[in-house]
Amino acid sequence: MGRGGFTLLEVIISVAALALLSVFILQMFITAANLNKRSQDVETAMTRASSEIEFVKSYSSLAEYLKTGAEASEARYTAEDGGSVTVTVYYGKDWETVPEGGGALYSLVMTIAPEAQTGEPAENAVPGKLYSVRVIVEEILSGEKSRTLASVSAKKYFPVTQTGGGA
Amino acid sequence: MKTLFDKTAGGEKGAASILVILMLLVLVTLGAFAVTSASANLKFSRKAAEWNEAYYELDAMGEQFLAAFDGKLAEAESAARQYVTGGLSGTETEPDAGIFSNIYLYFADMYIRELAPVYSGLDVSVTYNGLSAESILASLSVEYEPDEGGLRGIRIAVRVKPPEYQETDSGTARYGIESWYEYQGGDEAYEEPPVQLWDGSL
Repeated sequence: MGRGGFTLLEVIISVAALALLSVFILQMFITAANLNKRSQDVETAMTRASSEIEFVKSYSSLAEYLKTGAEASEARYTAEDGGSVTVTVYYGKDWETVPEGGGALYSLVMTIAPEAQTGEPAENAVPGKLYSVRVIVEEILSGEKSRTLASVSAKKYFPVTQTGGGA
Repeated sequence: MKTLFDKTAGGEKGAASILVILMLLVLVTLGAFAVTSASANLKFSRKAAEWNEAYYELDAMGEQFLAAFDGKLAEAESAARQYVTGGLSGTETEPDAGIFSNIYLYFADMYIRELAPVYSGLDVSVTYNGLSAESILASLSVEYEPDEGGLRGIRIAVRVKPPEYQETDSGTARYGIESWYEYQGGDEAYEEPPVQLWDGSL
């Protein structure tokens, strides 16, 4: 002990302590990484949701959107039910669009539904239509579970007075 | 005075443990900093998301106003056509386009003002060219106060021009959006140059 350096016992105890406490320290870094990932996911989800809404709002009628915009990419699935339209997009690990069932980790579902018009339109008047646009972006977890990252509700009024009610 | 590695006084005892403790302290500090920073990031992202959601709520109020506004213009157009047809039924000639424009703007002004009880921030003004009405400018401010204080609002200005008398279903909008912008703060916000979000063209 009179010589410089550490004893074997000291080293063993120190390494053991370091190993034990490293587990907790590592846990902290993992937690930080997870929180950062979730934060990035929330931001990206909101950007995607806003982007989808603005995309719809950039069209002058729903019919035009359905004709050219809704199927703009292969990985977009559009379903029409009565007057409502549902657009579903799946994203992979890095938020790249992927086909349904192709290892999707995130999903974006946009529902465009007509709203009840306030007031009765006058005779011979051809008013436009007001639509509610709802976008929900979710992280697909294991099983049937999912976690909502962004949920945005907007409205869009299509004023174009085409024959048939503007849509 | 003893130092950490003072050999003469046997100070090397426990030095390894001290090194490990120092290393752990550094790692714990960095770890805590990383968790705090990540947590703040997440909080900020959620706040930004809420802010965005609130913007679309305001925007939705604007779109709802446009729907109601367009409905009133449709009513005005219908009423103006009926009035012109009925009013001039005794004559053989087609009604003059200028007469129709004036009557349309008269009805439009009247019907748009019916929205005032619902939209308290609605302001309607008629622009004249000489004695005849040329267009109507309707502006609306929709505001709300977020929980964290302050004031957020959206201001919309819409101009109405009379439609052509001959066109009954021209496929064009009955109004043009002159400005559509968001503002924050109180009345003083009007004095600030607005950030224009959309010039109204489609």
